[in-house]
Amino acid sequence: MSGTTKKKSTKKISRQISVDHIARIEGKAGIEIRHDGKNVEVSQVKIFEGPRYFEAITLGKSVEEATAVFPRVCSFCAAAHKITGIQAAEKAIGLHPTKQTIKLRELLYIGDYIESHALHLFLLALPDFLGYPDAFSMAKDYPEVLSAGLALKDIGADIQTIIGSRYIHQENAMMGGFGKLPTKKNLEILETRLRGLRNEGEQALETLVGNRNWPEVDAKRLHLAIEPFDGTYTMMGDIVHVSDGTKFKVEAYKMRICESVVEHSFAKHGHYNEQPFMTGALSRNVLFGDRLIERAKELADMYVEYLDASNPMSNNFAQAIEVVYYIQRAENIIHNLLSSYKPNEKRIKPHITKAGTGVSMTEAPRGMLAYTISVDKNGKVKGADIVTPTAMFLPILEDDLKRMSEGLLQQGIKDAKIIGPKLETVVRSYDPCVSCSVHVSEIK
Amino acid sequence: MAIIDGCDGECQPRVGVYALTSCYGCQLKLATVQKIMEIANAVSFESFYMLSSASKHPADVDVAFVEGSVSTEKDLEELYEIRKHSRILVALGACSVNGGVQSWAEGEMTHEELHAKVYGTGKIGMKGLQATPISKHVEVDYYLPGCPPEEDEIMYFISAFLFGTFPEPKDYPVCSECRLAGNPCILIERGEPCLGPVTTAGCKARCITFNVPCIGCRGPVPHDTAWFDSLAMTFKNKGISKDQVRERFRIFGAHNPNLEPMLKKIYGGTD
Repeated sequence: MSGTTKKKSTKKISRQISVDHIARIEGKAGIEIRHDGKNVEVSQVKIFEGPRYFEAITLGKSVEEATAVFPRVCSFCAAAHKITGIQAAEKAIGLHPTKQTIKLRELLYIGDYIESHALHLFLLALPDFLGYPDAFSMAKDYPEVLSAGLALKDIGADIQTIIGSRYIHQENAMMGGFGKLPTKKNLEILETRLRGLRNEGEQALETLVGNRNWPEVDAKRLHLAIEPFDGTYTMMGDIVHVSDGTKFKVEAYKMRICESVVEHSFAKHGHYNEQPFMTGALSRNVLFGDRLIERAKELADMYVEYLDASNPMSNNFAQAIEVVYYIQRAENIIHNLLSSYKPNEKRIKPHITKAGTGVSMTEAPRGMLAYTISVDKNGKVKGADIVTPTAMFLPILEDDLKRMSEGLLQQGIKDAKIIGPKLETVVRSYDPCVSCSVHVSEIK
Repeated sequence: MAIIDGCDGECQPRVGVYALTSCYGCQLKLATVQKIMEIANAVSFESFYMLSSASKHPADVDVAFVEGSVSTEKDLEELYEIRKHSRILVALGACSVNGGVQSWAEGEMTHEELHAKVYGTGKIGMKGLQATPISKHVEVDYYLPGCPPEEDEIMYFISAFLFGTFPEPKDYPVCSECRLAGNPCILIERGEPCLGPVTTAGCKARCITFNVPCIGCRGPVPHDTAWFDSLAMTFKNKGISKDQVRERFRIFGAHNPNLEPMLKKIYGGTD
């Protein structure tokens, strides 16, 4: 929706730019900017998405059922929520999944990455850069761009369906393993298909190259990302790195990442040591991009100027690089799995005898996702805490919207109909997940 | 009320896809069906905020698909507005049809208690409500259940509207499809707490085929035609307690008025 201008009668002349409903994002949010013609006094992302109280409704419920409910936080990253929640619950009860389970979960997670990034880049973000209101109209002039996007979405979705039973809300992924494992044949088919998608994998990057980041949102910023556990580039790990050089264990996230309630949003706001920070594909690239390999590495080096740590719009490029990387990594994981695959490996059924608490953090497609789950000796949830990437980056996103609007105002651009859509594009580059951000954290 | 009436094959039916409070999975499912580009050519999406900046609200449409539960006052206002501007209104998915997982604590905690648990005393300028299915507030013409809905059902609904007919509801449980899928019964044979007997069919027993007991995401079978009576005693015989059954039913069926009477029938007044 384009913006509207309203004049407010206060002593100082205060003007307002509002976007009632940001299109092409996951969830319901608006933007409100108040300015005096030159400086911005208020810059807010208003989150209207209603609360669903996940940490409250699961209290006293069976932890196995609760881990099936938590992923309903979000559809775009349901597998991320499922896997992170399961890992926290397994830690709480002292269950150690098998190596094969861990690998299959990573593959499921990669399916989520490819699908989520493809949807964001091709259906939500690219129409901005090519000048269309949506992918439907974009497809008429750029059929090959959209068909590459849909092929990537399909492979991401199919990886999740084959491993997780469906690509939204994967019930087959459970504490202790899977109800049913994918057949060897299905994994082989995925491997072959992935190998055939390398050109499609580069399509988003190719389309984005040539579009310069907007200088108005340039600013030094903190990045946080989880150090991949195995020395490679992936979404699982135990230590969070901060671009100021500090590190902390994921178990300490509650101490380091504080959340507070703000009046204009059903989503809380996250801060690291009281400073706003970025998390997501760009942050991963800034902190661990040197671990990329093969084609993704080549492309990241080739287009290094597009991966600018101080510009949030580079997040689109970083996602496009990850698509290339994860297609390759998925193929490699399947190849390695198949060399010693145990298609009849049994799920370890949770056997709960004592109370415990578990923490798990992973890198969801949009950034760090944290779960703490406490279980009593009867297997009931005693407490749950979920912090989502969007809740973490909302404060810095609001700062960027302020920078963007001030930058435009100072260039003499005052028309809300021009500023509004530009602000929406900045919001989209973060790929926010509004459903995720809402209310999912417990007050301590 | 066929939507192509009066069109003479010339006009495109106007469609709106809306979300109240939800995970956006139903819209995502709709947006990612294989034939989405064909659908986009056959209909005119007047409002589909998740995919298009050319969306309007309110928009006069022939068919509105509404995802999500009513969980805020704003949701309620929007829902009234959508109903006013839509010829046919379809409740899309578990939240819209049955109130969704956010209703799990229905009757256990008040809205104020839920709010305090999550936000403490922090002030928010907008008002939340206890989650309810949309049929509590407006007339709903058709129900498309699932968390998320299945692709073939989405296609069936859209095709039916395009052809000028109506989608028929499924009034039989998942068990019937599970038999056709050739699965062994994991409730009878293994004592798994499978909700197949009381859950609306349409998923082709997707989870049970993966060896996962049904969690009931498609909601209670309409018209109380579940095979509950014949299979219900099995829950009790397998040692699954009344509380366990109730808790599991309520994940996606907390607003089902038939739940307590059904439980009473098997377990009597005791736990």
